Amino acid sequence: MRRILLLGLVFFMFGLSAAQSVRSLGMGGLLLPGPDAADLNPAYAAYPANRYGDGAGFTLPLGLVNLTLRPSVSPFYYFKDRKIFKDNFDALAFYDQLIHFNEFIINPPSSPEEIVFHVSADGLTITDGAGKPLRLNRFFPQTAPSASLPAPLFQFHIPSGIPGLRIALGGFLQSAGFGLTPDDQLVSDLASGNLKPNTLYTLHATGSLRGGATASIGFSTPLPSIPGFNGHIYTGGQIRSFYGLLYADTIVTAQTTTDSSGAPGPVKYSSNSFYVYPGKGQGWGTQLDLGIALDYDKGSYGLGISNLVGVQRWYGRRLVTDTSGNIVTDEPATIMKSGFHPGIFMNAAYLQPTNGGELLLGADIRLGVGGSWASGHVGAEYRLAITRLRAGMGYDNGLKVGLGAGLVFPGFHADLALTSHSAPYTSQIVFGLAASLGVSF
Amino acid sequence: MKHWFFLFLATALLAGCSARTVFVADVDVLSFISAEQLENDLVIPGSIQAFVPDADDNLTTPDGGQLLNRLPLLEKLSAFAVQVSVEVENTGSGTLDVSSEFRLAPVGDDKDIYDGVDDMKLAEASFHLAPGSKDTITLTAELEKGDPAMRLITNEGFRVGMKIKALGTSTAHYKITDFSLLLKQRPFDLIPDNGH
Repeated sequence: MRRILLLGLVFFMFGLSAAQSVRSLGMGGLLLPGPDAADLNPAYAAYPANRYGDGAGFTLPLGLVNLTLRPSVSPFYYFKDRKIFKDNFDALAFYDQLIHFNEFIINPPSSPEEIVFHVSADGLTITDGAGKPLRLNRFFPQTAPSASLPAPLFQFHIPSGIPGLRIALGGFLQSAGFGLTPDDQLVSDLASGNLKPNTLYTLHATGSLRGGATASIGFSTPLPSIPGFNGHIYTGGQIRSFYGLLYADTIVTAQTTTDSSGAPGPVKYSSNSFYVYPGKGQGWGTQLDLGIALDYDKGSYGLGISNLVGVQRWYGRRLVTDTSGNIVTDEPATIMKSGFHPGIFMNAAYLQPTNGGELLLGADIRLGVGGSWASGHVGAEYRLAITRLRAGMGYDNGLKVGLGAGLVFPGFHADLALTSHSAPYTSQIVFGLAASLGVSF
Repeated sequence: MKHWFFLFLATALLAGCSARTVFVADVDVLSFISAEQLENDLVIPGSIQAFVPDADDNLTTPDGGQLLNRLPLLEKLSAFAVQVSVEVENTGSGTLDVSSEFRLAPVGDDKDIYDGVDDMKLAEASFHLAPGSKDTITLTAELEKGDPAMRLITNEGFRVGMKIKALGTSTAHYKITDFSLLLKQRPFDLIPDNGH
């Protein structure tokens, strides 16, 4: 079981690291029109590959530097040198570096220096050192689109020999929803005033992980040119399928009941997990995506609808433990997702020649139908000879800003990005550095 | 008393916690003492000792003081501070010499926290009070990690109390106007050291 947990952790880290290319980070998270976006819009499979520049390279896991060496971030000092750990470790800095695994965090966020519990016969109030109430909802789990198939972590394209026919095999690993959720009562009572007497308070720790192999087959083709219209329209569709090897979805609940004076009673823990791992269960799923893209003059515009029809099934086990630590349930269980849960992806780019160079402007939007999640980015890239300068911003689980630079040589490109995000709880602006190396054939 | 653990856990996890983070419990002890014990009249026939707060319904006999066991306390405390203010008014015709001391005791010392057995004196003060005049005694004490008195405070709680001694022949009125505690603890102090 320990080996599986460790394996899960390693995959979790790689899953995080592969989330975005460094070029994209430098443009605030923007995903440009082109074959790199074919998973979200199948029409891009037949799109000219280098219309807007080179694809993603290999992102270096720079976060490892902090996670292994920096005393405020690295948990390894707990084993290596307990004194360094006790004098330096910061849980917030560690969490923030872990969820930004592909960046070297330059200024890790720091936890508050003082948390003040005001105790009187009237009850309890909690504030930070400056007397301000704590804003606890910043640590809520970040939600990810879960109805669609996760984006592949790595993917090999198999040459089909037929123009527009895309066959890809790959693997996926998606971790989402890692976080803590206090119940509404706990949030409002901790933040604004007193714990109430004779009240049940609960705190949920959640996390989920999915992994497996993917296969996609898609066809995209330019439509015949329309007389009098100077642009090209591409349409495409694809079927994406997966075979699932790993699934873990866990909720651990801590709860306590306050007594008549508002003081918390003993803490009880319960848990509810669904799990699949190699040898114990499996999963499969398939979905249909459609897309259309327009290439007109100096710009490109695309619309992709994913998971128009889809089904996912996971056969695993459900393990439930109660507050006394007894196993209440440990039995085979099935998770099924089907129905109409499409996701919409729109993006656009515009390439404007300038004095001696070129300016690339782009924007993208992703939406879950029903409005359960949304993200969007705008970005720009200035190109002069082998140099690339980039900037952008986006909203994607919070505001994100990026600055980037790149060098493009024949057959080789290197990229660097400076990104920023706001830290959980403290909202400190945190800067991170990401780098990648790419080879073009 | 593991009761506060949940609260600390929730706060530490949700607010973030680091080696530098200090949890400060700011306790308004005054609010826990019943109103009738906060002030009283005393007849002083030459000499008297009063023990406040009065835990045994007899103001002039030593007792277990005020038990504080509903506090957010962890295993180890890194600092402790107390401030008590008592206003004493000489309502009679003779002069009074008033002295007072503040004592700290473990939970188990429930009979007498003024006898020096298990308990400790943290602060003392005295003054002279002419007939008709009024003065306030303020006792403060601060304890740091490693201070011997710190071992009296455990996560079970602790006891506090004040002895007021008056010499002279008169009558007096006393009133506790402030009684607050500051407890500081570093959650990282709970992490065990190892051999390194």
